[in-house]
Amino acid sequence: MGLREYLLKRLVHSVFVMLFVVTVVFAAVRSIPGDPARLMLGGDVDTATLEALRAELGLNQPLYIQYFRWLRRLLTGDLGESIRTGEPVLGSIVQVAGPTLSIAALGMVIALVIAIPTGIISAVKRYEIEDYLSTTIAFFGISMPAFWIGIVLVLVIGVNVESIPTFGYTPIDEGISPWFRSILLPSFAVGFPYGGILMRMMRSSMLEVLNEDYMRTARAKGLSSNLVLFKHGLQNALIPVVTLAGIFLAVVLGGVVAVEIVFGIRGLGRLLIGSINRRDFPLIQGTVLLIAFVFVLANIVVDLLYTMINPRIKYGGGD
Amino acid sequence: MSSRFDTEGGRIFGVRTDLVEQFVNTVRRDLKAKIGVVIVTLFLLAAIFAPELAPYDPMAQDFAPLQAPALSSETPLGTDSFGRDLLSRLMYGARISLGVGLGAVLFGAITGVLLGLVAGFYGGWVDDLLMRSVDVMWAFPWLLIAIMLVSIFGQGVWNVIIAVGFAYIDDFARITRGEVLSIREEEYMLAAESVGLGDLEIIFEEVFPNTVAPIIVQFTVLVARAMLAEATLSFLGLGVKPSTPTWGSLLGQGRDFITQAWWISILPGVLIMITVLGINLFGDALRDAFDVREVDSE
Amino acid sequence: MTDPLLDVRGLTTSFETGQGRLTAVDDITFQIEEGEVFGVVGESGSGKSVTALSVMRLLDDAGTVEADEVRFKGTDLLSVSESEMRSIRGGEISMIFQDPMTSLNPVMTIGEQIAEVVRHHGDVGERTGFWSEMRRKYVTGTSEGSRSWQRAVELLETVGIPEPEKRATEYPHQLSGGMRQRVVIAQALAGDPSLIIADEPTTALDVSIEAQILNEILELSEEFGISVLLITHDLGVVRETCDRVAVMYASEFMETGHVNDIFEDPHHPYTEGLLASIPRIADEREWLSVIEGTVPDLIDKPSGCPFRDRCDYAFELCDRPLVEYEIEGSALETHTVRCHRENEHVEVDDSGHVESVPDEAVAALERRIEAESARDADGGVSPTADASARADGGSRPSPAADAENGGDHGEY
Repeated sequence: MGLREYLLKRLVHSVFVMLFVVTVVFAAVRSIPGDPARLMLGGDVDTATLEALRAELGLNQPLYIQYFRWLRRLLTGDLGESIRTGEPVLGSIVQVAGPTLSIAALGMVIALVIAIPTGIISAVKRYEIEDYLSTTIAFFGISMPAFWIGIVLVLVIGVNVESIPTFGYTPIDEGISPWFRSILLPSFAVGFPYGGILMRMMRSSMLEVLNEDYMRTARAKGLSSNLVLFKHGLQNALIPVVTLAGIFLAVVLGGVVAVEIVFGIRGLGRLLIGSINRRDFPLIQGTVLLIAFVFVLANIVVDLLYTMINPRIKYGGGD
Repeated sequence: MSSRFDTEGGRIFGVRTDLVEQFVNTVRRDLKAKIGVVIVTLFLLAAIFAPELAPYDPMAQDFAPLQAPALSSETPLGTDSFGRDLLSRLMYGARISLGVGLGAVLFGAITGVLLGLVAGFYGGWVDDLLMRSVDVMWAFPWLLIAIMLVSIFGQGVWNVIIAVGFAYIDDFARITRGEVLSIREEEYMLAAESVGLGDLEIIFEEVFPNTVAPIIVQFTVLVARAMLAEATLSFLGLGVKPSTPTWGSLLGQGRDFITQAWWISILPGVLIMITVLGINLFGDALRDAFDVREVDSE
Repeated sequence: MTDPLLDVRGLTTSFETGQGRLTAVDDITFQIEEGEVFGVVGESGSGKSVTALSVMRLLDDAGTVEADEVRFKGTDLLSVSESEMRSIRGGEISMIFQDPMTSLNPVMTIGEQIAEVVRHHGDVGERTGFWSEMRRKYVTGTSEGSRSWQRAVELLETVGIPEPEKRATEYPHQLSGGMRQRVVIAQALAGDPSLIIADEPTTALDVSIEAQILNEILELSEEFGISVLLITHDLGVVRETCDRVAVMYASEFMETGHVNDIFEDPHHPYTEGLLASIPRIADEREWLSVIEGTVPDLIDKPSGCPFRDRCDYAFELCDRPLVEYEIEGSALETHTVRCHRENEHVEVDDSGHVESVPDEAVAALERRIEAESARDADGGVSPTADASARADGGSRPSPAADAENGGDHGEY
């Protein structure tokens, strides 16, 4: 399988995934009990007013027509209007996407920067103090919910370190440093569990690589142990980790939703929970779609990365 | 040992007895495994016998609100904002948290294993259809699935179990299918077929017992993750009904009083952490015992 | 006679395992002359590969290597620093491993895998520091166009790979098994070695290309005057390729000598057994003979001959520690055997079975064993890390030397 075929296959797959997500989201949201028109008007209303609103919202149409209409609008980037506020959904989402994506991105970076080197050290120093220490920390990472890490951070850091805020979000255009400080703790809360997962994967992957014949060959060539490890081992060890790193991004995205609430940050998570409570269908749809879209996009990037580090895909042929 | 443990094929309920033996040996050798087993057993017992062990009714508002933990007092772990005994609430909470965790993974496992067995065994378009659907689930953040499902079906124990467990179907389907495919290549499947065993018989007699080790390992790992998921859902107010004590909901309620009464959110969090840690240790021990790889290259 | 290229005396390698101490290589002695092909033949698990890895100091921390000396071109390999050892590995001594599929790095181009050896051991004036190498690997991505790369392409051509420029840019999975092993050979030649250690170089290959690859190794080593230490389980390969051969069994060398001596005049029962198990074309036997029994456990290995439980000729001296006996009348090379049947006082009948063991035999053996243990206690065997203990080790007479110039032990 050549590079082009592989990428094409992955891209088609992503499109199907998105289509599936869109359909599921539509079906799921429409099966939420409770009539949004009634909810909007609240209390006692006469049937005529209710029907009028339902017609206005298109809720009286057959479901499949609603679906295709929605799909067509979706393709033009129109996610509809919020039932509550009447504002365009896309606008509301974009307004609050900043903090969520910032936290997710920084959380990911923190996880990668800590987990990959630690995993390598742990594998190289297997059964030594460095290994026990880092596997223990990683174990705690995968055993705590992100939002609770957030709560502990608020209690420990928030009370003692004044320069790091524990509430709210500062947009990046108010300065890099305030922005960075406002997302530091939430990002850490989100990144720690992800880092724990990555570190454990990196360790076991590197342990397998260390036993490979080509590593012995590299030593038999007279290369220094650092060269053997980083020139011959690293890339091989990263190949399986990269694939799983994409899939476990779900941990980061899932974590952000709850962590935002801990830190009182108005992001996608709060928007989503709020809109579920208010049965604001278009807003729920839009938010879920955006998060799913980010996830699919991130996995496409991971796929590209994977093809870059795995020559078996880049240069097909062989077995 | 009773006769049930000494069936002719060396299997208990389809599980090879050598797996049990391997596990016991690992626990004997490995300190981590011992800690895991102790924690898991302790918390399971506390959850099962909560009605007998808990000092008070978890719903009774009998005490002064927001009392700090003091081991000598009537309420050793303090009280919540309604004056309910936190120790009792945590013990009852363990029932829901562990129950939902186990139940969710059981749901995912049964569904996933069945799908995987069918897909791997029949192959062809059945395989394509099932595995493509499962692939799509892989590409979907689990929390969204759970949030959507809970908002559709409403809150409640069973709904949360299904909502959380839904995300695990693909894991089990994938493992089972992979094992089935590799086992199909082996000679004894041919032998079984030539002896004239039917499809179902082959699946249950030959295929299932061999997929058991990786499935048990995955099961354990996912129970840990399911408990974290349940906690997150409850924390977001999307879990079991807010009045029911679960570790996640206790934690969520405590958040409003974090500055006056830190213990309400810290204690349930510590319990979640210890339990999940124990289950993860247990899972690692199983993985070592059964020699299941953590990372599959390609 | 000039000094041998590689002189190994009393090499012992052991591993600490959960069950006890595993002796993988037990007190072996051999020399490889310049331009010579020396074979080590034995069953799998007999310690052949560990012998090679011990000499190269490529065993990880679990293994303990001890020896009277391991001298290569006058340098004691066990006492030189790790960085000196690195300049020997891949340069003066290079290795060819069994499976070309797994011994080549799947994510590096063939050209770079060869070029890096040239760069580290050749005289091409390219930087070989950690960061220079990391830049080549992760930033520039290749060393194409450099002198080391050109040399790699030349080497690929030397080992008979067509379109070497194109092949150099390819990855191992794009080549066939035979081609891959040629790449491994090119890689072994890249450091301009004096000795190539080939560890079962054809075992993983199809029988059809086995001969080609063997010929390639032999022709090239002859052309460049390289000695070869060939490790194999295949006596047929040994007969066709080696000058001298050592027969290894249960971590010990049982018999060492010229390939003709070993094949025409085997003295050790195990060697006889091995030879009898080779199928021959003009075979009149109805059955291939098989050596009955199993290899002894190498963990907490008892002293005495490891083959005695399977040996048809076993007698009362077999549980005594083994010593080396030189066979008289060996025309071409020294021929040594570790079997007490060779004790000159032991009387052996025509079928090879021992008739009687006179007291002189026992006495002679005991003197010999005592002499050897005195030598060992004298610090002759010391851990690898202990360099000072070996500083004078070179001048200490070895058992073989004892036998040659002494004669005072009386066994010969």
